[in-house]
Amino acid sequence: MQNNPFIQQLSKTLPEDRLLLKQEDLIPYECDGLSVLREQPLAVAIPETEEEILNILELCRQYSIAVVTRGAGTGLSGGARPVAGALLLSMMRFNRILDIDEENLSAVVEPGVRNLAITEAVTDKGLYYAPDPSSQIACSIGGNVAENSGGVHCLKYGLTVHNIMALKVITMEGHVVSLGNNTLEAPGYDLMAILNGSEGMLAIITEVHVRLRVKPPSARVMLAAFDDIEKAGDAVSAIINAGVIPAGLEMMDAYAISAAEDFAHAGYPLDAAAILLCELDGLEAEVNEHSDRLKTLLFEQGATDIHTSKNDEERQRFWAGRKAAFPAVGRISPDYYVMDGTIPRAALGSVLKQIDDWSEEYGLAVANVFHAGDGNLHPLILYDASLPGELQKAEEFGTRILKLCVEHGGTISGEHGVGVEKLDAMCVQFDSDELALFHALKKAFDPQSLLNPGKAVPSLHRCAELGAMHVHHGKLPFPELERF
Amino acid sequence: MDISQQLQQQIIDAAQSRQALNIIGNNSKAFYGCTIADENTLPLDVSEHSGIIDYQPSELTLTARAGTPLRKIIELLAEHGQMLAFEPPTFDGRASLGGCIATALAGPRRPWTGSVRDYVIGIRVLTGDGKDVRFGGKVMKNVAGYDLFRPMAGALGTLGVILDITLKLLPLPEREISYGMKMDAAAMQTILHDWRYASMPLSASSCYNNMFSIRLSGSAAAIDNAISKLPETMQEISSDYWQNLNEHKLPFFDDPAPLYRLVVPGNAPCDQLDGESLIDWAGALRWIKSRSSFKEIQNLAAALGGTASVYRNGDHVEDVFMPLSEPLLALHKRIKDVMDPAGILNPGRLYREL
Repeated sequence: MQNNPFIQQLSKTLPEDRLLLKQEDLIPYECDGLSVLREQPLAVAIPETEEEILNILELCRQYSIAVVTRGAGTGLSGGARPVAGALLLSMMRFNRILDIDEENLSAVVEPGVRNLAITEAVTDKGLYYAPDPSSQIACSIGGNVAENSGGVHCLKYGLTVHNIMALKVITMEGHVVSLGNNTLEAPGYDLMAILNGSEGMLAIITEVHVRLRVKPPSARVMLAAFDDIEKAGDAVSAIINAGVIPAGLEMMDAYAISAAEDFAHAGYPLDAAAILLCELDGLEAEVNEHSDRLKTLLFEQGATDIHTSKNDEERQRFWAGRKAAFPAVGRISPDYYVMDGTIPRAALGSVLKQIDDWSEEYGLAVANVFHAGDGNLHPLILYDASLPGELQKAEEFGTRILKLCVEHGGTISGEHGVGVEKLDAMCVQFDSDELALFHALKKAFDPQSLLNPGKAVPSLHRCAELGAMHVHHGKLPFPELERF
Repeated sequence: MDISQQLQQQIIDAAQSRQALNIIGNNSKAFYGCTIADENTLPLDVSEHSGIIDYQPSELTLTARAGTPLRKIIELLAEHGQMLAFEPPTFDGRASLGGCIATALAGPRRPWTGSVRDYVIGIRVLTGDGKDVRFGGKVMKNVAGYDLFRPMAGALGTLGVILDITLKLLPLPEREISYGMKMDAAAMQTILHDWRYASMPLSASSCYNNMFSIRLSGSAAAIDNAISKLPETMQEISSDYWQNLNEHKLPFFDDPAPLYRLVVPGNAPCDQLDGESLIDWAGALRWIKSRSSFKEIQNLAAALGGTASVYRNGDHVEDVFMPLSEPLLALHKRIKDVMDPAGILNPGRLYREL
């Protein structure tokens, strides 16, 4: 390692404690939140300034070393998993809140700032940052932008892309570029939208200008129990159809309810086949009006029991079960595989039924806990990696679910990203023309393909070899490639 | 009617001979953007590519072809108690959906409900070499692949010919009511500042001719609560005012002078505006009629922390949008090259170099 000329040069630009080279120091960086996929980086660089990043990138270009940017490492699709031989760039020292503009309801923060830390910094002003992925205690805002993270409240308040006003980025070529501004519009193409969800493939984010909101004066959660999961699914569409946009609308099935209840003691009904958690926020009078209306509607839809949170403590408790659902399931199953497909809401009932049938076919249990209002499914396929063939079976099951989502006009990923995990599923959703444009767009930002190479967009050959031969928009996916 | 194949063939033919195309819907916004650079440009008429493909009220989504008249969509949605939340101007009912997306002009509701691009969830376009591609889909959340659907909003047709668009919709507010009072712009800013934590269900706020106007939207309970907090001198006004503002039917807009559009932080000072002005978006959008050059207006906008464009009248041969930084322009050129390698789609309409 010490003889590597790239490392020798790099050592001159960073102090010893911010350039990790030893085997034992690299191990924690081998994977992100998707721990089944691991790879060791060449080294880990932990820059503190824009200038250091520029120097590092210059060396990477010179020696053709790829760069994988990493925030808190909580991503669920392997977006920040190292690439063999690549430098891992940890942005966690970029952790300052640079400015809070109370007048314009915005803040400028560095990418390593934790999602929840933004809200914590402005909470005394009665403000908050709306997108709240389940990992918000730990995940960084830079990673949120890279993945266009969602969360429980994006039904009403939008995704990360809707809550960002501007970004400062550094391209692989070493240009510092500002995208967006402190107003409601910026001239030119909406590159900020392109950067959101680009999974660290287009540029390195060094500043994020987030939009803040005034905390609603009143918020209440309704917990509705159902004796049938399809009825719960149909109730979701009925709520939206009634002209009410809840702040959050989440669903859990019996398996998830029992796991979460054991773990978090949220007060969920253990005899229910499914529950809906429906949060209403706004003025107290408005929340009262809407909760009365929804109560009637939910009973009409077949709810067997409805509890409405009486105070904020109870509201937090109702959410605690939902937010702890993933780790709770992790306690009862040796391993689980999280899916992230999204479908039109009207298909919820039938898709859940199909997943249930497949669950029996594969002999693998599934816990469903997800953002029902957005149609964003998170089936957790439970398996035991120590049993031969189980992981493959879980993966095959998962792939079928994603295909089902695409067939219903949905997507393979609502919020977790493609990373390395869903590369094959991308072949189901996009045809060769579309994938070719994605590759060309990547080159427009990063001509040498050094930033997070091989992630998010599969090569055309990979798709052809995979034999994803379904008919897409009425045409064969890869007509120009030979079949053999 | 679906004329996508015909359009595709026209584009393929044009790309081969590097024939520049001027994409036209119903031509309601021909004045907007720069004059297209190539004099030998051929029109590409997409108006017949029209019709609503799918509308599911319970999904809050609508998919329609680019040539569909915007007004038709707005009326259909209203029948089902829904709306386009960005409140686009319809240009006397002449605007098409495609043009609405391509120009990304939003109405008075914009600061509270979001921009045109915020509601684009899926798009089908023909690239400059005639490829028929789709990005996004019919669901609210979608992070598969790079986001090439939202950037079509505001690209003025330079990145592709929009064929079909899927939009996210919102329910119409249960109730809306408008109020106005005599007040200058600076006083308006003070009052809006005071209301910030008062949960006022605002959906429009403007100042024109020393008249401060607001619109309240929400549940009956929220509106009643808000009305009780209004200054006593505030009187109910007709909600037609917002329609007239959005459609530029107020006397202010009936003027041959260059009309500039400034987007600035809402709290930027209002007293430095050069020429006669109309303030919308709670201070964040400023229409200015002025004889000053675009350069001078740009300097003013920059001093206020925002940007400016030449909207109507004035010089449209030179750039009408604020110049981009060097590296940003370089990225724009490369992205244009990805989507339109022959450079035939609306060349120069957004920027001379694109």
